Amino acid sequence: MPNVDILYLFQGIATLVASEPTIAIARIVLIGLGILFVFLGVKGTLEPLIMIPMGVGMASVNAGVLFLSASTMGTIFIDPMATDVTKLMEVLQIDFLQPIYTFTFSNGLIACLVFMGIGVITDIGYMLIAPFRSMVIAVCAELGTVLTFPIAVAMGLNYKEAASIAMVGGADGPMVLYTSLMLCKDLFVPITIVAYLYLSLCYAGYPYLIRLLIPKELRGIKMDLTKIPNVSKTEKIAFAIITNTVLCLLFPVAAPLFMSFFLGVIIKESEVTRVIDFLENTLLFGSTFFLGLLLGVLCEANTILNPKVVILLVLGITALLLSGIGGVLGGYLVYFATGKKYNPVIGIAGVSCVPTTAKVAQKEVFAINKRAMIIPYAMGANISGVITSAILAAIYVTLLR
Amino acid sequence: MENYFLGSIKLLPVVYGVTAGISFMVAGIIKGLFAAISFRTDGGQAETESEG
Repeated sequence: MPNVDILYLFQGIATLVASEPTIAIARIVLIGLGILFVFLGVKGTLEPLIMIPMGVGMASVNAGVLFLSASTMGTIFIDPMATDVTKLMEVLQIDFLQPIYTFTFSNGLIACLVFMGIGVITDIGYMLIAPFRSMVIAVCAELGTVLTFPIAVAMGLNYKEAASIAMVGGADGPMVLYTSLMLCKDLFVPITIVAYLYLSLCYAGYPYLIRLLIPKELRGIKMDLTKIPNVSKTEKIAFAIITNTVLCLLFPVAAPLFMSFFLGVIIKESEVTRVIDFLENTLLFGSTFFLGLLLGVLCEANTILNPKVVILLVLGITALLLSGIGGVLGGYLVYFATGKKYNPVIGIAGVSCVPTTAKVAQKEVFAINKRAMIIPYAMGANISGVITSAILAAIYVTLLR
Repeated sequence: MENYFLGSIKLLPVVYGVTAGISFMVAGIIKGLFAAISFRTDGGQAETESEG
């Protein structure tokens, strides 16, 4: 009978013993964190669509480390650093998630696919109700995206890293992923994880911000729903195709994002039901699932031990907080500009986490006044926020790439 | 480092200004589209009325 080395048999444990103490501790912490994400995702505290696959991926990749050779340790999940063609061809045949990473993740395709899905579930008509008011709110709600940039530079990040983490203020996951992939590939994993983690917490955190900044009597203001114009499909499609062409003309570097979003919008309005079903269900949920799974798998101990991660955590929450405050200020601006007839709570919906922030706004208004319906206006601000975030991402990528 | 920070501060109004400008241009496209469609509809109605 051959000699059986127990540590060789159970290589996950053997690599834990053989690695440096900091790496071993980080691996154990990440396994625990992955399990916690799954638990919180199942419970609904964090976004289950992202957090369940991310948590499973995170726990699995940090547990499943093995000896690749006598001196190197690694996994058979993914090798994000493989860029040399020969090496890439080799890992494509070994690492089981490498094809998805190489062909959809590292080129930003997955962000575009998610954006296409978001386009198809977005009713652009809401934005056409009061376009200038919605845009004022959306621009104000980018306060965090803009102000976090110099704050991040002051904290020691370079321009590209600063712009990528500042995009968390736009509260749009695919946008953060796209910007960080374009500007700083080294930090795109922690930045995107920070973004999705905080975006999941928007639903829990923003109500407190609304209650803190807007007095009860203003939160209950009723919006006039009789003035909402009927927007025809032709108008929506015309708007989508014209805006898409103009934005692609202005910012070719972000053209894939604009095209994906507006293509989704046009497909929805053209009522091609089979394609709508495909984009809305298969493509959107499939892309979101693999986005979560790959982010989890990319979350290895070495990534998280980067000293910049703590800075990113601080900057991420700063960006979202500033954007929330900016949105509420935008709400107040429109409130005063319309002779105090506009509910300032709508301002929070300018933060473009579709449709979470619009839902948060409506929930807070309902808590004060059961007859106050603001959702059409909130969705208008929300969709304007998506467009404004995409414009801002395009400006950052164009200027800093 | 200080210059680096000052550079980011100088970039701030450019980034925010261009974002606001393009965003309002998008809102302008919507308004223009509505105006064009309502003009066409009004014109159509006027034509129909005059025909009647």
